[in-house]
Amino acid sequence: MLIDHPLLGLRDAAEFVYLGDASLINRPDPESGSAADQFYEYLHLRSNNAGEHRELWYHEQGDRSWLVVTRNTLTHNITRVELARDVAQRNASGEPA
Amino acid sequence: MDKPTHSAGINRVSEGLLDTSKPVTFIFNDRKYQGVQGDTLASALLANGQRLVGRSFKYHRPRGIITTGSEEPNALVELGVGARKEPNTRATVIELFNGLEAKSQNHKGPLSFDVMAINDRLSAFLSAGFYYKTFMWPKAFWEKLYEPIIRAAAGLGSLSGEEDPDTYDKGFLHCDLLIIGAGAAGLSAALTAGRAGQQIIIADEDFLPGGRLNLENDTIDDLSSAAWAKAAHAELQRLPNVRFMTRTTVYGAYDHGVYGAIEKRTDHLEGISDLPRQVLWRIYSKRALLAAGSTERSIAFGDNDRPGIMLAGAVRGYVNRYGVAPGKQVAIFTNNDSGWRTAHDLHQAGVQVTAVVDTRSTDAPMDIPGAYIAMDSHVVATKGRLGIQSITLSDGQMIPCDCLAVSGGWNPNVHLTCHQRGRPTWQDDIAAFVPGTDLPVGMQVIGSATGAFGLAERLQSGHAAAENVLNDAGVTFTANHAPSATSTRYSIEAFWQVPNCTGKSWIDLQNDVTSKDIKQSVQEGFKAVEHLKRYTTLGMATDQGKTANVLGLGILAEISGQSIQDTGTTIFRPPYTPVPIGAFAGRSRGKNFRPTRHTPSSQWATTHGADFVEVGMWLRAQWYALPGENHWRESVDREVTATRESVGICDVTTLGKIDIQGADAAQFLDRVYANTFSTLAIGKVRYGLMLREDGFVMDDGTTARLGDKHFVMTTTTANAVSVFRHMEFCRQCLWPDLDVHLISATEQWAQYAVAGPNARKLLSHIVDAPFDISNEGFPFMACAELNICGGTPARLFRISFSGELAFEIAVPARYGNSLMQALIDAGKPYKAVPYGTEALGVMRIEKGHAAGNELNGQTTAANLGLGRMVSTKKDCMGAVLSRRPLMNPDDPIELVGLIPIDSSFSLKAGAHFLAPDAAQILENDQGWMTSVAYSPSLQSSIGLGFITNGQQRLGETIIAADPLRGESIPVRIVSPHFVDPDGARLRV
Amino acid sequence: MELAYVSDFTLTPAAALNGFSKRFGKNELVEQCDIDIVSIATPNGQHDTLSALLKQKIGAALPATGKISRADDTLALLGLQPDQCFLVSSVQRPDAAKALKSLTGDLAYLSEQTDSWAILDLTGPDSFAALERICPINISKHAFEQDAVARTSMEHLSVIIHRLGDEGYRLYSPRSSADSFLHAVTESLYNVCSTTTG
Repeated sequence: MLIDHPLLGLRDAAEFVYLGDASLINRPDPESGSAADQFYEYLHLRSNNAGEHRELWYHEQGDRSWLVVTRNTLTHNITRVELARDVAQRNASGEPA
Repeated sequence: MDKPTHSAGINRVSEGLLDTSKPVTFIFNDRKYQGVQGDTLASALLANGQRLVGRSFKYHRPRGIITTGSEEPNALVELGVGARKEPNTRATVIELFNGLEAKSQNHKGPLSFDVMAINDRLSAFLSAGFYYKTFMWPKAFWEKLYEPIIRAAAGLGSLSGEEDPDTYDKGFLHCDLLIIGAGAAGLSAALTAGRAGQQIIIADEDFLPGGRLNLENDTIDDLSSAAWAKAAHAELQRLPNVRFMTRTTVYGAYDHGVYGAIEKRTDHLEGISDLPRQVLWRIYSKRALLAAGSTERSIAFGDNDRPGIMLAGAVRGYVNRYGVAPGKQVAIFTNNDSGWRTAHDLHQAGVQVTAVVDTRSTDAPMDIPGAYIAMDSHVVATKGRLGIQSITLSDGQMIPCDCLAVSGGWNPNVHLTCHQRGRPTWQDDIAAFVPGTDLPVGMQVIGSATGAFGLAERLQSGHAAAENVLNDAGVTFTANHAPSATSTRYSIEAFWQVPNCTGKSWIDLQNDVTSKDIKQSVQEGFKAVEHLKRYTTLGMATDQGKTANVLGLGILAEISGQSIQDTGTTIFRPPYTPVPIGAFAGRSRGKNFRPTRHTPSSQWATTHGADFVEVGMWLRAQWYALPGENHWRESVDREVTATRESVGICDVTTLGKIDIQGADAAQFLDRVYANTFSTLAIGKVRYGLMLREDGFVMDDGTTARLGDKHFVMTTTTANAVSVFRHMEFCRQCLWPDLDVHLISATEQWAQYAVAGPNARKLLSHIVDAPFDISNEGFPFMACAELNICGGTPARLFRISFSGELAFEIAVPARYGNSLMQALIDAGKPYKAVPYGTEALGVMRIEKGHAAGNELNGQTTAANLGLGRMVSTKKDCMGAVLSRRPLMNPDDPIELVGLIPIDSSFSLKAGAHFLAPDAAQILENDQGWMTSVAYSPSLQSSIGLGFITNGQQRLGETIIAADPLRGESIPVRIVSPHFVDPDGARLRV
Repeated sequence: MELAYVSDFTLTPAAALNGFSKRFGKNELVEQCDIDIVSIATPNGQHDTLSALLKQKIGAALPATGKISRADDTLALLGLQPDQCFLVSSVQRPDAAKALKSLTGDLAYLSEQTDSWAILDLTGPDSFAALERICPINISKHAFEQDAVARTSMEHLSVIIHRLGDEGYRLYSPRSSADSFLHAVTESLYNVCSTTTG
């Protein structure tokens, strides 16, 4: 599998480490009254899509960027790759993903 | 036509494409034979009149050569001798060289008289599912009796049982265009794209490029097809942008244009080479053209497996390429025009064609002088025990022959189009599956692999596809036309099996599957194609049913009354042809299985008696044996005692070190550590506890503050990489607005613990003036950057894992080896010792420090007695979920020390704790022993462990039960701090 | 107690690969022992300011990730991460990070990396063929230009690679596993050079 790194172009998936669902970027507010429930859901509840899935990959044998990769789990077709930092900053500023 | 005489073999009728001036001597079944350069083992055997080359897998039927290529199901031999013996090698792809040795397989006694051939007589009992049904009981007999006997009787070739002495390599290739197959279409495409300057790889499994062009008697651009292929090969080799890989099989199509290929490098060379025998390539392609050609299939009729019965395309292939007539009297049985082509080529070459039998009810397509022509006719039986002697036709006519050329049609090689679950489509006019529409990304199919069998069409499809690739890539090129050729007619009427034969009709020659097995499978309910495969083993042999599968499907469809398209195919999976496991391993064997990491002073350690232990990829000294020490405990006890009494030195370089800088570095640490770091003063070190987001402990270590915006963190050796990754996740994904930057400094610094009451005295000889290392000037948990040994930059930390007065001193890695020597020399007056990881472990257990055994991912800060470190004043990774009720029960497991009541007992890690007299059952389990050591300080075995309500139970006696090793030891629960519980020694 | 505070010892540096140097056919593999490396991390939001400062002080601006910014033959910045580059310099400074710190002050986060890497220069006509056996990325001259740098993985080891002219590469691999990396490269050279020379 190849991942089209936004800064470096196509790199073999072997250079990356997979983490999981990109929703892990959206860490709940620890001050919230329902923080315990929110963290539980954040950490343990995942949708298991057959199809398009946004997931986190870390370019450990490369530029150490965390990436959000949109990949079809049925075909491995990758339609979008972004720097996770950009996604996180966009989320924080309330812009839609 | 007069038959020319050729030296190498009685059946040689011409030079073919060989160099007959270069004779080659080889050995088959201990007998010497001669072939010529350019022969395969198969062609040389046929040239020598050797029709019988092996026995079949299950019934030990005599078998001969069927094909000219990698699809060969029958002619499997053991190649080579000794440790280099390779079983199940196809004689059809073995390039002949001087001194080659091969043996036939699957027989006891001589090949011509195999005692196991009794299985053939018993075959009525050995049909599909026989083993499943018969050897069900008694159950215990399966493993001990039935399976070994069956395996011995029904195996393929045998392994040497020795380590493979050859080497293998791997590599990575990149190209704009990968062309798989160097036949008509592949060469045509390569010429078009290559001349336009694209970066091309063209790979072919054969040692002679050309594919069928070398096996046929065609004409391209006024050259013989073989001569055209040779010229195309030569031109492509001259192009610097083309990599022409012969002897290379592209065996798998993977995601995103990645292909796997295996290149044979030395298999065809005489003698033994120490260079890699084969290279496994990973090819990254932007586009790929699959020009894999097509494979002929047979027809099922009675006793259609005798040596001498071959596929028709192979028979003329042997004549055209190798100048070998597989028989002196050849009969032909066909349902398509390809059989006639064989008749034509054989007649041209002066080989007698005794009959052409065609299942079709049309007029004969051509006249073959001297041959009995039978249209709308079948071969119903054959005779000849060790080789065919005659055929019997459906009209009762018996015709003599020593070779029967059979053609049931041609199957496009769709395999690689299906490696990502693509499904082929049935095409009626050629009675074959062709590639479907859902191809792997970037792949296009050309040539006869598409089902276009005419030569002009094949050349044109390669040319056109290459032009498409060029256009898509925006390459400007001079448009040209495809090489010119006339197309020969190909028509076929599907015909699968001759009805009502008395002899067995073979489908899968390698796994001995007959049409009767298919019928039985359907009758017993295994009608789905994937079930049929597994019940009958059709297509499950090393040839993956290349010549058998479609024939089997045709018969299945016929029996079950459904269309072939609806019957479908089984899933195609890599590899296309077998790849040695050694090639997948590549160089990763023995000590090169994975990299080794050495600390900068490993040389010093090696010369001073170190015994190394693997810790991840690191080699760490576990103890330093002195002359006369015969047991590791002697060394370790001595190292502990010397350190506690005076001073010891330990290489702690392997601990992870992460350099953390930024305006928000302190805040960042507050968030990744459970405890607070923003309050840490510059020049100080603090122990830090790291939680995972789920609240369990992830790692621990110390972090030093070197400046307002500058920290250096240490991690455990094991978690150095994962902690760094985790912190990059926190930095980039969770808190991207914090100004914090990380870089690993693990490799940069060689670091040594200097521990023991004389540690300061020792270091006083090392540090440069005017640095003050007195207790007042450099107290417990201080850190500094300083110079040592006359100007070498260093870092000094006053931290202790041993519980003694201790420092850790770090220098740039290049000075590590020298510093180790200097520390030992400086410590001479104090009898300083180097100590290894075992002594380190003993001392940390004596001090009750948690390590990997305790930080196993299932323990909380509270379990470790560090609950108060989880700050309630701030959020941090893991804070919220660490407060979950079940992680904070009223009766938590807690870390305690354990000591045997009788000090002659030695404790075992993994033992479980029970109340005295409690039964050894799960319900009574109270906890477990995590770490144990012999403490020279206490002169007793001691342990650490987790036990329910441990802190309130100090002094209590329980049982450490170890049922696996049959031990039950009474132990006392004590504080985990066995030595200096108040920490007084640390602060002097 | 009276403590002396005078060191009686001096330390001798050791190269990661003992100054390895060997010819393989027409190729050479030589350890580089005189190259300083300092990592430079850019404070958030300070990219342009730092870049201008570096251009002024050392003659090279901050490179893009995957690119090299060269001052002259002796100094270059390797763009390895979005906010981090390596300064590599063949002008020996005993404490390179400190020397650079005097130029950049608080505008950059510096970390000494000289001792973290073993550096091998591979030059010669077979250098590409040799690296093909271990390097997954495309380093052919069509795809990997003079100003390109990449960090990738070879034989499970992290490696930084860039070109040295038309027929050469510089390889940086972690010091602790340098022996394993050296073995990987020499094995590759042996495998391809022996093949080509028969």
